[in-house]
Amino acid sequence: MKVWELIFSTTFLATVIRMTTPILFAGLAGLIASQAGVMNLAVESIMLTSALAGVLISAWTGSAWIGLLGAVLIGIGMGFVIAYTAFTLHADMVLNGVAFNLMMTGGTVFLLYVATGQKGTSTGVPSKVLPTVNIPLLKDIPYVGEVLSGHNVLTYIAVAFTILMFYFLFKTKIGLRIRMVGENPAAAESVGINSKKIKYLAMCLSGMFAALGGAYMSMAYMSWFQNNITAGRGFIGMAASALGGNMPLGTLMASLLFGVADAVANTISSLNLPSELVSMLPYVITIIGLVYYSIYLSKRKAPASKAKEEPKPSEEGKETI
Amino acid sequence: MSKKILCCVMAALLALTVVLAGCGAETPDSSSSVPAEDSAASGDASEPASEPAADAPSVLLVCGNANDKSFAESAANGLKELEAQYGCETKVVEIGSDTTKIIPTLEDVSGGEWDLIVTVGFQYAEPLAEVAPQFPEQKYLICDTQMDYTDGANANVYSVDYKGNEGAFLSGALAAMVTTSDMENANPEKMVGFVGGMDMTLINDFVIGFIQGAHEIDPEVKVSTSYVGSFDDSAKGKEMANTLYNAGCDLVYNGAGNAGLGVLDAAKEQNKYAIGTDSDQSLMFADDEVKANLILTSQLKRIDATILTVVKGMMDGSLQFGSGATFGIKEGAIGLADNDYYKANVSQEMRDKVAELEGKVLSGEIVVDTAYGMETDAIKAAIDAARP
Repeated sequence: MKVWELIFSTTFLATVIRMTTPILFAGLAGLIASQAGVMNLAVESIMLTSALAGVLISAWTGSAWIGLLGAVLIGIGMGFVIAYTAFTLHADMVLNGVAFNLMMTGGTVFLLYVATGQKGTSTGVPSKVLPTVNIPLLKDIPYVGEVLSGHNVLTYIAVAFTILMFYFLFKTKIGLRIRMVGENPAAAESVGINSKKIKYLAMCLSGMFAALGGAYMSMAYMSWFQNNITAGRGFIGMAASALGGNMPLGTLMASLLFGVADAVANTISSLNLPSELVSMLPYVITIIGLVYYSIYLSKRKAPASKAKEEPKPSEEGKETI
Repeated sequence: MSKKILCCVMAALLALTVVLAGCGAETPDSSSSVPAEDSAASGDASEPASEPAADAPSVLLVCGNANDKSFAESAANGLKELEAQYGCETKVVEIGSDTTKIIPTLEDVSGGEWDLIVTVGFQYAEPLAEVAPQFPEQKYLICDTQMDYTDGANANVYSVDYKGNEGAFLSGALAAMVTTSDMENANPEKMVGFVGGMDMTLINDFVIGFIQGAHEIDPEVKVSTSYVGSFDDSAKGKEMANTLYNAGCDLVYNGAGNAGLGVLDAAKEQNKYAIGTDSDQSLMFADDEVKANLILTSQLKRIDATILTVVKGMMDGSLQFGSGATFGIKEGAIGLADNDYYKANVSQEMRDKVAELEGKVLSGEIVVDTAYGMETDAIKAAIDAARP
């Protein structure tokens, strides 16, 4: 059948990878914040702001890498500001995130106008694009090479960060502290961990990942900034991290699921199917995924609660705190 | 110390929030010297003091973003033209993308300060139907949609929508000539693509015209249609166009507004052709030579020409408010962009054929089908029948 032909083509799989990348970055941003027990609702606006920053800074400096660095610094800065209002000034994090999202939807257009005199898109700005990478050897393997090689450098950075994230959270001291603060800040404080500092760190990291996702949108996927260029991908990414149980591998899988759903919707939309059904598809898959995930969780609950009754020395206790 | 600095930063951010929330994406047009909405709200905008032309009406445009490289920008250009030709006093009020601001803004600006208030787009139709009866003396023009005039309703409104199908007919004909030609980037497959914003009548009117135009040249040409489901997700627009190009299309028509910018990007990446829409998109990418050359032409919707026609009608008294019109090729409101890229990249022969077809539509020899008034199922069947 024609659908299968389209879906198993190399271009389709390459599309999946392209569509997954920004969602994965947003997912990592949501993941690290959630691990520290905070909710970064502003992922979308950080992405949007960094997307603009990357375009403007790369145009001013003439270097895509400095543009990317600027975008990341601005992302970290926004994460820090949100952390400051939430943890030092004790503002409500949800309100804070919503405020940032609303502010930057208009704010990015305003800044674009101030900087370039344009209000819709930055197409007139000579911004730079990050390079694509052809992986030696891999690129020569038929099929696999076509799918996996030749993507933007940020795509590989996203995958690398997902693996690093696993090591960071589960194999390093600071990762353990982040998880402890997320699990029980009071307990963490009782053993001398500064939970505020840890939360600040998590928010800054969250800002960094969101910024990378934003830069991907305007400096890799597209070569310009445009009003609302992220189109809700920050929120989808947050859903991906929640669906992935705030675990690196789970988030990667959930992001891929969204990427596949989006790509399938794209591919089959050129066939004789009702377009309403097609545009529904990614969200239907999300709901199925969530249902499956909660069934899976409830099945796991039984042995987990048993384990609570007869506590044994946990592995975490052995690690240095 | 550092705390103090942080406090200052926060205060500055807060102030910025207030400013941004207040004005949205709003800035006064060059033709007005006062901040748009506020002055209109408080009513201290200077009355049209001296009118150079005896009966030149003062015209106000309410739009989302007058710099959108699309309809609103075209309308704003129309206002500039009015100023230049008739010395009309004009002003642009931008309200950003928040559609809940439409009604309060219209209420603020209505009430006699301006002779004509112009809005563009279907989003304004319902708010206008609510506001217009409150100000029976105020005249309104709404472009790109129609209003309900039964039983004397909306007697102070004039509405103009467009035969987008006529322009799409010409685009479709050009697309079919390109895909069947031996042009550099054309493949042997007789297949072209259409990326639409949403599956709605306004867009399907284009699709129907596009298909008819393509079949006018060669009934065997297939037209593959996809909908982005949004008018601003350009990444998705790009992926849709990529899919169509990969499936064998050598030309994709952009019918998705800002999301369609992704279509043009895909064209450049795949080295295939595209046709732009609404505004002259080759000129928009004039600094990107490769891309501009692949955008063979753009289908224009001349809101500026419409405003000029309507104001002229107002001045000589021929215009009847409380009615609507549909502008097409005949009114000079629809057509393909005749720019240098079109002349350089499309052969004389093809351009002559397009001009010939334009003449036939003008004379009524060819009647272009429209999706308006067609059953949804019939539209669907027609679009599906054209698919490969």
